[in-house]
Amino acid sequence: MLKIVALSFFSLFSISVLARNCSVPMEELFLEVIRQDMTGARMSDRPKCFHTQQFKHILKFYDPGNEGVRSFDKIVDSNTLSINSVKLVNKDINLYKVNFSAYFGEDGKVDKISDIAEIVIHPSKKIQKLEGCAEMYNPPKKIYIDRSCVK
Amino acid sequence: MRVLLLFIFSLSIKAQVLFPYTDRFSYMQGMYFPTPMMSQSAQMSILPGLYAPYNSILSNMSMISNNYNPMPQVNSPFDTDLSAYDIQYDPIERYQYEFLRSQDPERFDRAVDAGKIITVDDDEDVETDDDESLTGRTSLKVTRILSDETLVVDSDLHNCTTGIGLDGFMAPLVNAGRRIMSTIYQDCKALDVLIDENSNLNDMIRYHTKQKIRREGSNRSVMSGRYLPPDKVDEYLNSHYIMKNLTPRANEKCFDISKKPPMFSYGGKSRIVDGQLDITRDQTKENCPGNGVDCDSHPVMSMDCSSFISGAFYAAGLNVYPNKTTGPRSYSTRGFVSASKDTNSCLKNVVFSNDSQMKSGDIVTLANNHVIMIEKASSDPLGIKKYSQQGKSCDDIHYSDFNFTYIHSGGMGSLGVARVHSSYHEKHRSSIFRKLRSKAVSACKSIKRNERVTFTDETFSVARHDSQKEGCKSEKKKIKGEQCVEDCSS
Repeated sequence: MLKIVALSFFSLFSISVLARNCSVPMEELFLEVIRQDMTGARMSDRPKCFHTQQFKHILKFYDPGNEGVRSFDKIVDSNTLSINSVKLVNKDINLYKVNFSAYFGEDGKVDKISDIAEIVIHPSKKIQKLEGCAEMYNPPKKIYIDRSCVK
Repeated sequence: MRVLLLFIFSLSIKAQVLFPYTDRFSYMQGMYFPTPMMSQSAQMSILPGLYAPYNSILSNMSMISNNYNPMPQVNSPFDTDLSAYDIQYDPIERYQYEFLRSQDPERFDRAVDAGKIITVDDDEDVETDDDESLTGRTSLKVTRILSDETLVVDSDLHNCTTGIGLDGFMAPLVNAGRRIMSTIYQDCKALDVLIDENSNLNDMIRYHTKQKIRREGSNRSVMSGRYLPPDKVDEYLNSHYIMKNLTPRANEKCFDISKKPPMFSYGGKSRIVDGQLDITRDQTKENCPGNGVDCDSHPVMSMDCSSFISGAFYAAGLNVYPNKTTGPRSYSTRGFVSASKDTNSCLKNVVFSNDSQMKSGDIVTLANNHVIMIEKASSDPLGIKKYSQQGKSCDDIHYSDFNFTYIHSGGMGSLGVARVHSSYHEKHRSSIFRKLRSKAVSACKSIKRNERVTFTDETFSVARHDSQKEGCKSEKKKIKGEQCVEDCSS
């Protein structure tokens, strides 16, 4: 009897591990998706930090594309990443246009970048489990890389 | 008792969590392989000789079988009394027949009456217009469709550019893509390899070298270029997912691909020489210094995704813009998206509705990322029909619901030109597939509202060539080196 109860608990434990908790503020998901893009997810040369950085709510995703060599445009400090505005652009797929900013510094000068990412939030439990809570739909125009990735 | 019930309940939930792909089984059931869980390529490697005659038909059938299956169920080539000839040819013709008839029954009947399509009953010999005798086959109602030119006359019956069926089962554009693929590998057998969810491309050896990238205002970026060390050619050939199954040969018709193996590179382009599509140029010489292939690499042939698709347009004799020949350098991915939005072009956006889905010959493009050509599509290639039914949630559409094959040139494992089943992307995500899934969800919801939609936006398109438009079609063009594989392109 004890074994059965233990097995039942184990089963329930497995469910909780496999199920992703997506009940978090959307902003948190947006930040994760943008931060992941800043680990070199679109660069032809995949930086080491892409492998080392972990994200709680989204799937690790790497796609350098098949047309042309892609390197980064700007080195930014992803800790300074902030969201300026969010707009729902397609409610059928929960697509949001996210305007964000981050600071970058070169040669002692500090400046700020602003760009737009289009991000999809997954409402389906099945898709959350398989694909994560959110994903990039249209990436920012430029490729930004976190400072920690180019040390 | 309660504990027992709780145990059973928890196990059932766990099973759902661990095995969410319940549809996979129904898909696999329809496969025409003796061992359903084994990939086609795996079986070919085990029984290459036995499977050789069936390879092309098996790959065709696996696509059709899930949602539409007019053919007799054949679980294995060995437990049937049909002859090899029947297996190899009849089901495709049967499918063509059914497909054409379903598109427009009235016109189909008229075409039959006019002798443009001939149906043959069991055990009946018929002389056709092209003097080809058709013999009745065992237990099948055999149909024979004459050349595509015959049907072009009654072309509204079926879109000859993009539909399944008239040119060796595939749309002419796909046919051209397959011609390029078999030519670059100098072997018909290359067409039998299908990358799917069971394909492991990790064993492929990839060679890179660090190159400085010339970037305006910046000299700090470095990038891996493709590089085939001259002393590693055999190692590369033996690890390449397609070429490891092929035997390089050189004779009066074929050239030895080990002298200049195909390899994917960014910016690899073919060209036109004496009216022929030349895919054999050495990218280390022609494209150096530049993106993609390292200058010191062993000679390689290479073309990027847009050059492959543009080249297929050229070889098929199809224009992207009326009266303008499409060359292998004509369009980038952005160019394809722009053309599909331009009403003056020969590309039109695919409309998704209850009775209209993506099909063979359609071009899926994500600007600045990738372009692929749909090779074969099931009747519900993106799962839209399934999930637009009452009680289903469109948000649940997943890559595991996709059922189509495509042909492309891509960096996937440095593979280059390859045929891929959508199931590969259940494990391997890509931006173009992510976008396709989101678009499928959106289309599914639109269909529930009885709306018709296209997938095209600023950066993405699913487009179809309009061969009926004036100036959009010209003559097929030859591919340099095609004589080696001229018997296998369809």
